[in-house]
Amino acid sequence: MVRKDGCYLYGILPEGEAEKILSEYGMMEKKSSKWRKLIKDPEDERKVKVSVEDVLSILREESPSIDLDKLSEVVEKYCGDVYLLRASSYRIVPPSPDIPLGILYLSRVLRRYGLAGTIVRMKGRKGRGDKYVLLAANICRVDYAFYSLAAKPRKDLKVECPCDAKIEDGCMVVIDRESLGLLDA
Amino acid sequence: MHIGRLIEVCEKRVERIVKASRIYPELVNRASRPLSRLRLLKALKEVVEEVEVELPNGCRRIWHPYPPEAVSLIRKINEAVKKNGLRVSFFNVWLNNEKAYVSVRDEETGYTVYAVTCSSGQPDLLGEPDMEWRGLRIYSLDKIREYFERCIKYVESLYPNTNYYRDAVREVQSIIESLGRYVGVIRLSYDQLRYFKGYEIVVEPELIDRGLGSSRSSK
Repeated sequence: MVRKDGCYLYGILPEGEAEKILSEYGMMEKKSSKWRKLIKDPEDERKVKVSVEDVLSILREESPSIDLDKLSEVVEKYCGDVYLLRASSYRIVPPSPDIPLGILYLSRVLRRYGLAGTIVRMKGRKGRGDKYVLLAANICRVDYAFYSLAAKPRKDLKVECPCDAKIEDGCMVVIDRESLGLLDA
Repeated sequence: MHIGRLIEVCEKRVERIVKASRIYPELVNRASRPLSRLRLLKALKEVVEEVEVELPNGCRRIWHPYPPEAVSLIRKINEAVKKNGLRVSFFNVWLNNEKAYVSVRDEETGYTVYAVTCSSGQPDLLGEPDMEWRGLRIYSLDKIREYFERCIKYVESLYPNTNYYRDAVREVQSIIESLGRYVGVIRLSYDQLRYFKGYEIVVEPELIDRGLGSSRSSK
């Protein structure tokens, strides 16, 4: 650590602990290097298009907290392109009627699968940035920047509405069939 | 803008919310304002053809008496919104290029639209004076009595269900009649008045010198 006056401060650690820290640091560097291979040639430095297979292969070695089988199933069934988004480059947006239905639907499906499902919008462009749905937040760290795994819905995604909504006598009525367990009935 | 076009825009918004609510039912809360807006516009459609969401440039807000076309429109709007069980707040009127814009504000949501009608200009309830002297317009008592009658008729045409103003007009009339045979009238701008404890006080020194320093009740 460097003090304000330029002096270096050193901490003295027991031999075993220092080795542990060094090995942890080495592990982190090793992990970063795998991700760096994916992010080395970003089309836009804030957003990198990746293949799901590459991401899954790295994640399988890392043993993360997310269910990788569910993730691969969801991506195959519902998602189009998959991206790594730098965490500082997007903003979380709540579900709203102004968001395309495909994005809303993907978000709901991901939540049902126990994945993140957060809708995000890229910063800049005066609030009209591209919208994505997060599959997993802060999945990796490369050069002090965290990246999240996000996706766009498939172009041919069929939106199957889990709720009934209609206008009756000037009022809106919504029945959430999924929560009421009426979806299969 | 034709009111049908605005209703279409509103219906599209509601439709969008309905579609989004089929995926996220929480979004049902977003529907209350557009639906109230739609109810108001549909009620207005019965009596208004043209509306504006924003006032065009160059509009000038006017005070009473409003043009007769605006008065008749206000009465029609009042009847239409009451029939549909809506509540709208007080109307204000703007004039621009022989058109009158009447603001209609939904009390539930605060949404305001401006109903548009043609305008033949503001009526002169006071009429021509018998004499003019140094900016004072002098009227005989008979003319002033006629003026008060016209005032009562105007208020009746605008607010047919209220009558509290009659006593106030009669009170002012009795005060004026006790003063003499002629009444001098001078037009005051808002710069020359100051509101103080329920009274509007004349603050213009020149007018005070002319004997207009007294105050009048605004209640």
